[in-house]
Amino acid sequence: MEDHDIIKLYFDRNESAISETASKYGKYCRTIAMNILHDNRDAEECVNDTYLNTWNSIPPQKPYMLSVFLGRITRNLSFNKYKYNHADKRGSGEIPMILDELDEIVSGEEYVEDEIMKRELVNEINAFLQSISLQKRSIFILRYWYSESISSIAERFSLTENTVSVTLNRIRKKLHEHLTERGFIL
Amino acid sequence: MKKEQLYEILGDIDENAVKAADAKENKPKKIRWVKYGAAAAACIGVCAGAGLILGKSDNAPDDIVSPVKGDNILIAEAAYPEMPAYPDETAYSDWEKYENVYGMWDSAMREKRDLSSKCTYDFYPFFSDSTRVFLSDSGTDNKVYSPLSLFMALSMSAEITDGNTRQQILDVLGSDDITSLRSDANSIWQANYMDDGMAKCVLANSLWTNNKIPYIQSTMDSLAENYYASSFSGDPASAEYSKMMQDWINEQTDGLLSDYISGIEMDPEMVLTLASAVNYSGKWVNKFNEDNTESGIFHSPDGDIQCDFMNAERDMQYSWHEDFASVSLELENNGKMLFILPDEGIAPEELLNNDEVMDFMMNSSTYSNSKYALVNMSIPKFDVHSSIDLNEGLKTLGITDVFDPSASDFSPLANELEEIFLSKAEQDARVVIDEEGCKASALTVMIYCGAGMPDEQVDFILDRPFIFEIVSETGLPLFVGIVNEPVQ
Repeated sequence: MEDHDIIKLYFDRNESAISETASKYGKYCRTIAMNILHDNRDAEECVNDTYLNTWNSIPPQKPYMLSVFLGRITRNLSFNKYKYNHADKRGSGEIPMILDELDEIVSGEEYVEDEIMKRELVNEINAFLQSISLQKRSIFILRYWYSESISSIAERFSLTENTVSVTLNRIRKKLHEHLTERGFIL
Repeated sequence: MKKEQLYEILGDIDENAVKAADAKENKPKKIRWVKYGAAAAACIGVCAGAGLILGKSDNAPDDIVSPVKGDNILIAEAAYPEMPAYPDETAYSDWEKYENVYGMWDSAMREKRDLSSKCTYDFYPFFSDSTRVFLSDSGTDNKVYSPLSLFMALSMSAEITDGNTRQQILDVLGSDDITSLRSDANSIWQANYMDDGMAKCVLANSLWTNNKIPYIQSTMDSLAENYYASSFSGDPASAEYSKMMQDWINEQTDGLLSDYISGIEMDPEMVLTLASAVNYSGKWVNKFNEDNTESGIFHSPDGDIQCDFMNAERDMQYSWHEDFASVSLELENNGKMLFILPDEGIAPEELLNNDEVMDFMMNSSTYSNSKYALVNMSIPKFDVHSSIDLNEGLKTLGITDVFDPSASDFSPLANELEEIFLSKAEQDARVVIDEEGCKASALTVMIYCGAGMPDEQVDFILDRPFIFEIVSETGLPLFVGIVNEPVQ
């Protein structure tokens, strides 16, 4: 079923919207949840919560890209679950490593979230990502949005794991420079 | 800022970029090949991601066609040449009638041979370069590679590309321009085509397009005419379209592979899948006597293994070199199979790096160090197959632009598309040999008579890793392989 037909089901409050979503994007969401949580039961719970969350969000929201809309919800729910599970200890899987990598970009100091500032920061990250090659952009997003392992990314692009690690390292440094040069306090 | 906050903020980056990063072309593809009995195939999928741009068609040729979404249709059909059936002598009581029918069949064969002799294409550089690249790292595994199948797949790839992308392919194939390549490929196809009920050698080419993407009809027609390639359009996400491809391959391969291909599914995001299969089967002119087949030890790199050896003592051409010995077995009206046994201590891969060996493989019938001898032959029955990822090898050979979406030029395929690239090129091949062989026929006698008495007796025992080559009737290498383990 096409995305716009699925979205129409949500607007019609037709419950088959959920089964159609699960059929088309269940695997996609499960992959993201598993990348973050490394636990089947927790991942399944987050994917189910994704469907419920989506049911409650559409309408009024109308997704531009249904897959990414769903993936973002799964990502947020899974990361919240991860933080809850590992409030006092380092977790397993990819996330601890990903967070360590991101730690190179930020100061680690307390940051008061401000929606306007956050929006500007996201816009500037988007601008930075547009300035690098398609492959580098994809590698960065697969690592820090999809939370994929280095080995999985290396396999996608037929690169060695070392090449992917080095590439990510360079992108992080460049992103840090790009943002700080534009006045962002990270 | 805390690292967790940055992770959360990154969740809100541009949706287009997020979707593009996980596009199908960034996923390892699993387009698998196809083959059966003694045959091989190459599959090339050209894929574009969800982020592809469909531009304006103002300057597009008139024959750009946008198929109706959901249709699974044949858009260009290859018409194979008619070939007289091989006349079975035993089916004719009237000798004169048989002579007439045989005469017609023989004329058709002569025409094919004439066609082959007129083709000026020098297959040797591509054969030697590509064989070395694709068989160089077999390790302890078996490797099977079809140079002719890859030649056809690359020739068709040259047709659907332009600019430097096409030039790189032409350079690897050693062709001056697309016109001469087209002519050579057409001659090679026709000269090697054989389907007379007795022998079979069909280069079955096909293109499977995505019905969401406009294609250029004239390109498809040209491929049908010059490469005997049938083209189809459909929804690659639909099970029906995958089934259609399976049915087509089944038809081309006489249903021999129905079990094997039932699992083949198309990539939903693919722009084009190009499948080039060699459907080949041959029967020994002199079959092996099953009663003489005995179990024996084959010294594989991973240790000794037990397998069945076909044994025979025959007067035959025996070739020798300082690094190897070789014999060939004729297949009825369908070329021959060459067995090359490296001397002790020499690995098959090492042998392939020797120019003299390559020369021998391309021109074994005129090799000087050959003579008739009484050969005590012991050849293992084998069933070997391998899957070769062609991507790196093609890059090594110099074909790089097709893999780069920013450099590739696929305008002859569909000039409204940008960022198309070759996502997967793979060749799977399987070769099986056993005792089955010839039927007595007049033709066999005519072609294969004339051996003189051997003046020497030699042993030819293939009990350690060896090289084989199946050479078509016109002398082109259909398959080359290294057997490290006769039974996988």
